[in-house]
Amino acid sequence: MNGKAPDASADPGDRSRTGTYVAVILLEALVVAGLYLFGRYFSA
Amino acid sequence: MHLIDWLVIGAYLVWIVYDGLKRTRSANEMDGYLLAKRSLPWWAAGLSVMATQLSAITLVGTTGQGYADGMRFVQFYFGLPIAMVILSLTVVPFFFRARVYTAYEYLEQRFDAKTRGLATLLFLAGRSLSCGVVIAAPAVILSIVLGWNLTLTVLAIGVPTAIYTMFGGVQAVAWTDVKQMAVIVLGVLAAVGALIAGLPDDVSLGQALHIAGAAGRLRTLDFSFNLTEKYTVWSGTIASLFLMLAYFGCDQSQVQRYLTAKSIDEGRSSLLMSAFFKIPLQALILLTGVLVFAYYLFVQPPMLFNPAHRALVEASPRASEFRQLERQFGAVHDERRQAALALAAAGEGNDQPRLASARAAFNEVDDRLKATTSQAKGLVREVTGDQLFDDVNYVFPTFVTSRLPIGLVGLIIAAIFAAAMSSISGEVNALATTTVIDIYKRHIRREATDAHYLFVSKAATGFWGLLACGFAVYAAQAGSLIEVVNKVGSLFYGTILGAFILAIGTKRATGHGAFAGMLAGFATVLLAARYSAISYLWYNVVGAAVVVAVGLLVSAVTEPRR
Repeated sequence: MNGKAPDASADPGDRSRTGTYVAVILLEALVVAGLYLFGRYFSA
Repeated sequence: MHLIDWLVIGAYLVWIVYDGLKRTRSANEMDGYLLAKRSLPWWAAGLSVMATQLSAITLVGTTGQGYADGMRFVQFYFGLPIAMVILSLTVVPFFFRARVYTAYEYLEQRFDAKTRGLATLLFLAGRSLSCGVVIAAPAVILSIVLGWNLTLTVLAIGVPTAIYTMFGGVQAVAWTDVKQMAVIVLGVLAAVGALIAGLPDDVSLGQALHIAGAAGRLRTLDFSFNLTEKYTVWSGTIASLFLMLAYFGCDQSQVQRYLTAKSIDEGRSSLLMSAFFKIPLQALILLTGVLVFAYYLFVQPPMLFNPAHRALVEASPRASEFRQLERQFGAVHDERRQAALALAAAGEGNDQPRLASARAAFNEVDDRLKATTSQAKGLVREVTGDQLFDDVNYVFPTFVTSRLPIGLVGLIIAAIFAAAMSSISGEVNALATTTVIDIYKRHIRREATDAHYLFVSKAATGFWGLLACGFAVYAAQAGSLIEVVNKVGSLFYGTILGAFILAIGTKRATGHGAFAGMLAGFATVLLAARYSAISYLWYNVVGAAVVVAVGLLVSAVTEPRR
């Protein structure tokens, strides 16, 4: 061991998921916005 | 209950126990029994994560919340997707690379044995209490609504779960969770379909939703910043984020679900599945409650949904007062039904003044109905002495058993069983794994054969399963204890989360620092619970913050680990 943390990219089962994380947050923000608009529409 | 409903529930139980026991073959060594040899596809691990979180309390309580309070409760889950992304980036790769069986093993690798031991004890204490409640809560409700024997109901939920979990291990837990999620979703969709079909012929779904909206049931977001208010955007995003980080990142009953995945990437995908589906699923369950509210606009509901309390009041000297309130409730409900029909008709045209007037008339009579119900609940509290009395958890089961057609009643009760069993199996499995890995193998017998540890693991699963059933019988009879113990998780979570933040987020923290921080964090949370009015969700933030602050302070004056 050289004292460093294991390199994430060295693990074939560990790929970068930045796009997925951004998609998750954006999609859930859209879901929340949809729920808000749904409530507003039927409460008007 | 009709014979066909009994057959549906019986078929569900036989199917699940058979499916769980079928996994015994692949659970003949420790790695298979506790981690499924890290072989599960992401979607199975992901459904297992969701099924473990969705207990019967969630299913029955959330529909009740939707009925009584509307959609606001969905805010509680706003922190979940953010938590899942943070955990995918942090603890998931750490746990997979460390090749651990439990989350707490990692704390010894990073700090020392005492920190691991304290986290283990906090987990075992919190989770074992909540496991009993997870069985007791639906058992109490089903036994009261259906007139079943309470102890037998506890055993009908707990014993089959303990049996398949004991013999099939984590594989049985995960694969039955997959099927149980299917039963839950099918049950909820069937209820939604029946509710829509049950609306009067001259009232459309859109009109029913407009009336529910007029009654404030469809307001989702509350931006007021109030620490004593349970469900706001802020508590749902910030405090709930800490709760979700702690629950999914440091609670073995969840960590063990995604450690069964084939790789780091599949482990992440299993968590991200919850991030995608949790808020829509909770919104659907809440909407089911809102539709129950819309249904009961046109069909008179019972004034009190808990028949046991109603019977107590009727047998008391104040029975005549109660009957008077019931007559008043019937008359006001009839007025509200007329006002709802008038509002539905007014919504058809573009006559805004007529719509506003119909809405004001509806709200006025709805307020009177709420006041009558509130008087009745006050009467129950005075007669029974149960100051925590609320019948919100009885709304959905009462609707199901009194209003749904034969067959559907059995399906939805099976869904309530499925929700309870999927949570209990994961929790019992995690309690046993922690007992064996973090206590038995670490402190009692460090060297033994795989067969020996497998035997001890099965014995520990049986032990925790029986203990959970025993505690459930006690908790079920203690009544209001359920309300108290429901919040116990938040007493422990913040402290354990703080230890993991120190472990993964800082290089300077030492074992002494983490241990001292955990003691200080737990003590602070207990003091906050005893002496402050802040909502229990915020305990997680307080606990984690104190652990990190004290942990870093003590670490600065103690020797770093060599």
